[in-house]
Amino acid sequence: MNRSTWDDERITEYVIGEMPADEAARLKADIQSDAELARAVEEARNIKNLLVTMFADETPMVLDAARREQILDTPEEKLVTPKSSHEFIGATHASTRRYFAMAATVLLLATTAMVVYRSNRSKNAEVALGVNSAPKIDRPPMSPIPSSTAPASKERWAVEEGAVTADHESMDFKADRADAPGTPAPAAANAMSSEEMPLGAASALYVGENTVVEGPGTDVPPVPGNVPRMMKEAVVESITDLPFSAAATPNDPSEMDKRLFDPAAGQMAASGLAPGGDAVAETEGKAKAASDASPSNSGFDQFSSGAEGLGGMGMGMDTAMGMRGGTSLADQDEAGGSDMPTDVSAQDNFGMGLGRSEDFAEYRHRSIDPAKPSSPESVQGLELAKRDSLHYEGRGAGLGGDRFEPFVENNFKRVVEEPLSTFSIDVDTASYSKVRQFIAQADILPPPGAVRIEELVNYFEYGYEPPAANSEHPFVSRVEVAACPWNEMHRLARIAIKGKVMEKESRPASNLVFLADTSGSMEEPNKLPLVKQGLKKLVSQLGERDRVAIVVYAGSAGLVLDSTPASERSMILRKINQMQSGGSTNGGEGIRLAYRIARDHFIDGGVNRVILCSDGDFNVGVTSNDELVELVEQESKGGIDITVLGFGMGNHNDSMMEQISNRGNGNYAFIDTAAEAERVLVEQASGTLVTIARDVKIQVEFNPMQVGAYRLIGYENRKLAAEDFKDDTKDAGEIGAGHAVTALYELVPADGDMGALAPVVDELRYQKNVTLTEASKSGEWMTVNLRYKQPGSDTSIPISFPASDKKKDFSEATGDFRFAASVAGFGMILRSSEHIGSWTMSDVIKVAEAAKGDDMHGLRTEFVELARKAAAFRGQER
Amino acid sequence: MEMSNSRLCDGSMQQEREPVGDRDGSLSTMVGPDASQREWLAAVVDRYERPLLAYACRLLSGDDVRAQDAVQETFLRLCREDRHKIESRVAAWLFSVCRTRVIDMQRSSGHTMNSINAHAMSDSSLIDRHPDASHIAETSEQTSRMAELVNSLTPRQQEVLRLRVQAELSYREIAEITGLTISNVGFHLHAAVRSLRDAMQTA
Repeated sequence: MNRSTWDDERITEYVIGEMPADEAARLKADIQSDAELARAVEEARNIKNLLVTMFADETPMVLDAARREQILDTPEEKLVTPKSSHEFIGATHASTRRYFAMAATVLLLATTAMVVYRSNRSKNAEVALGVNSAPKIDRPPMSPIPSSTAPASKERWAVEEGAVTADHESMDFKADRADAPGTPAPAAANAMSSEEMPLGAASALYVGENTVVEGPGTDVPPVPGNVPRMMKEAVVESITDLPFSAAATPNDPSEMDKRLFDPAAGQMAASGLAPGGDAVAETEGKAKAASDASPSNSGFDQFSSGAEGLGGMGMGMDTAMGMRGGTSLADQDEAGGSDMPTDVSAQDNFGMGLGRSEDFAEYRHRSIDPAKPSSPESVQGLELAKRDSLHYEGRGAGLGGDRFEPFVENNFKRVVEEPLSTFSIDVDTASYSKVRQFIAQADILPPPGAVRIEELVNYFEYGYEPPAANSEHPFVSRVEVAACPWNEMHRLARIAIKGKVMEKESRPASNLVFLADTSGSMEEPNKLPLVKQGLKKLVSQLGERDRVAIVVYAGSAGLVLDSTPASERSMILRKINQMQSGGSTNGGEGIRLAYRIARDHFIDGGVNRVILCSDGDFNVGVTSNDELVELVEQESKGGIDITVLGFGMGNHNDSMMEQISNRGNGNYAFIDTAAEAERVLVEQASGTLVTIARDVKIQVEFNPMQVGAYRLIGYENRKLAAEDFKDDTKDAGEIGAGHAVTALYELVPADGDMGALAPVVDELRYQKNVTLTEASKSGEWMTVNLRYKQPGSDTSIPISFPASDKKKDFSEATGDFRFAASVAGFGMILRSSEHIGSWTMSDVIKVAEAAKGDDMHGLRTEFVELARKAAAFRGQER
Repeated sequence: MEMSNSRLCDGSMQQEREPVGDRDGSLSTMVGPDASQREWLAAVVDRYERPLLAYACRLLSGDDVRAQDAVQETFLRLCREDRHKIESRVAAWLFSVCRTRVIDMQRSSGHTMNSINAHAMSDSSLIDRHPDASHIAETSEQTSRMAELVNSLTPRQQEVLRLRVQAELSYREIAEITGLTISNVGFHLHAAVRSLRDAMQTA
């Protein structure tokens, strides 16, 4: 009885003082008639009073006087000195507006302009990274922020100076655009004048608000020259995707399409503009609601308020410059009509994609530019993510929070005791995107459990030669050995496997089932909107012979689109657009339905794949990891593969997604940004979709004559028992077309110091010394044995080849080798590995920087940035 | 007894404290919108340093030096924010940032001591202010018993309890800080009170 009374949560709510008055009155009435409840309330009140006293009795702590002074002495103005920019959240919101004005004008130029629009963003974003990471890098956390107050008159001057800078920039844009094919030149010229102004304003504002004069040539970003994709992604995410969330809501897709394709240029511009305006305005509303920030910026037109929303917290707007931006925009607003569609997918529909390499070239070029406005979008992204990031730590079932399965790092094994090292390959890259999201967007270091080193290393493209067209096996593998950078006494061996490349045209017919989580937890800009964007990208890659079905699941699962030929693209896109979020997540039911649809339309010899898009937060029906994973494992027996695309932060269940993909013949990518969606679903579409070798296992045998001990770096959750290698019933990883897999071993030479490595067992009584074979004298260091199955076959095919150490110094190793080593080191540092020795992030940066190579997509440059930022978080010198 | 206030608080606990509902308001009346940054900061520090330190200290398992680091860093970050933007939610903001700091510190600890710690350790003439056994013995028997019981609660319950009772945050704010839903906050609080009550019954 007591029990049941105490089930009433109102008791606590009441005594603790959280209960609204009306409810409290009701409870009081209940108390009158229920002695039991009255007693419980009395007890609870007693407890609460004790708690209050107890907490109050804790010896009060106050800040040390010195610390307090440091805080209070922080100068009032947020100041910028060339090398130490702070987070000017305050400074940025107004420039966004201008920025939007610019974006809007550019959009007027119709399709080609899109590229510019994006690259502009990237450019700004780039600065933002510097800005955000700067405080940690340049200023020891405990020292006061340097001050140099500029007089107001100077500020005015600075504004003009800024405008001049901006002129240069818009000139650049002109030039850039002229190179682009199909540029509507007259329109460009027209629009340019208005573009100039906003941009100028932006620069000017940057200067003005921060009261430091930044002429051209001043080096503002602390890390000049390279911030390619990461920030771009952040931006893409915070901007491009926000509109999506709006689009996700009430729009009628058909209406939207109509407008998007309306040939009238003005309309076109309007549709491009809309994402900025409408959608952002809506987002702002959300952000406000979320942060409980004080309201309303009436007096600005819809667009500028949108821009402000993007600026993040931006309420306190102002400034003449701001008005200018706003005004120019207002004009466009009228021209385009203010009731605008809100689907940024315009870009996808027009085949704009991300225009990655061009963009990249562009902002590389830009990045040497002087003072630039910081990017408010990304600041906001960071803020949002920061808020999210508070949820990051693992929680139990039923609670939010990113969940990562902790695991223990591989240790050294003595070759005499364990000559065989066996593991399943893993082409997943999710961990890297996840780590990137933590560092770049959420501004914190990832929890160690989120860092799977092999996925970090495998994220990057390496120049591994694919097998020859007439090759017997679908992949080739090579071994390179050089000195281990973090321990000069050790050697580092890299096993590189490269799958055969498949052109889009030669891809077999695909039967795809999109299984999208549309539960309430997906209703965030970096989730469902990104899912939609990703799926649309993928659909754009499909051909006549391919089929798509869409299953959504929330509280219950539903078939949104039965298997449909990919040629009916508009229908598929419309259905994707219509997906909305709401309700709880019954993942189990959705998975079953998706596999059933896939089975119903099975294509023999083709690609049969379920593409699961979720944050992994399954909370209805089957929710335990094990049961769901088993469900997928069972379903996958029918020859249907799975691609797991993880989204979001805050309640992302990484461990679940990883297990589903591992056990269900799948691959797993984490989509943190639109650019990542592009990478996984467009650039590597063949690899993601087409499996060329199944159950690929590696077993390395080390030669005790050469190798004393070894340590597999990463692959902790992919380890297999030695006897599993030949056991064809044991599942292992798949390799997709063109996929590359890298595995690193840290080796202690046989004559090396193994002092730290005590034998696992005491000396044996009945035997001593291993008998060595003739082959052990060959000088070989190891033999790499591989087993794989051809798709559709149940019998594995063995390959093996020996490898030896050519005594290369680390500096003599290939660039790919050195880069992979730096990534592994990065992961080891994030995991606080005991094996990393004296290596710090600065070593990672140094090695990676030197081994960047061509870096076609800017991924390696981005990595260096990430390492810099992580170094700053860790308080290490750069 | 009329329940006019939306936040029914036991009068006795509120005597020396500002009423919860007026917390933010009182801050802004103490320092009007025109107050200088320094005045405002001083008011915020005065108001929140204790609960923040207690909170951080608890999260850091009693390491008060690091708690000082975390709280100082939190306030320094506050300095870099536009005050007008976070004034209305400064409590939740502070605790959120502080929590993140603490988590970051926990993560990087055990590896290399980062510069923050190194710095703090160097001038660490501080006494351990965490209520250790000897301290608890000095306090009344009942509250020390309570402290023991509280320590046996789950970390989540302890955190929520502290944020509510000591820092006097609303369920909403606690939800924002911890990432729980509001109803989950209520659930954890009730579970905490309930298990404290059960423990006291059996004692």
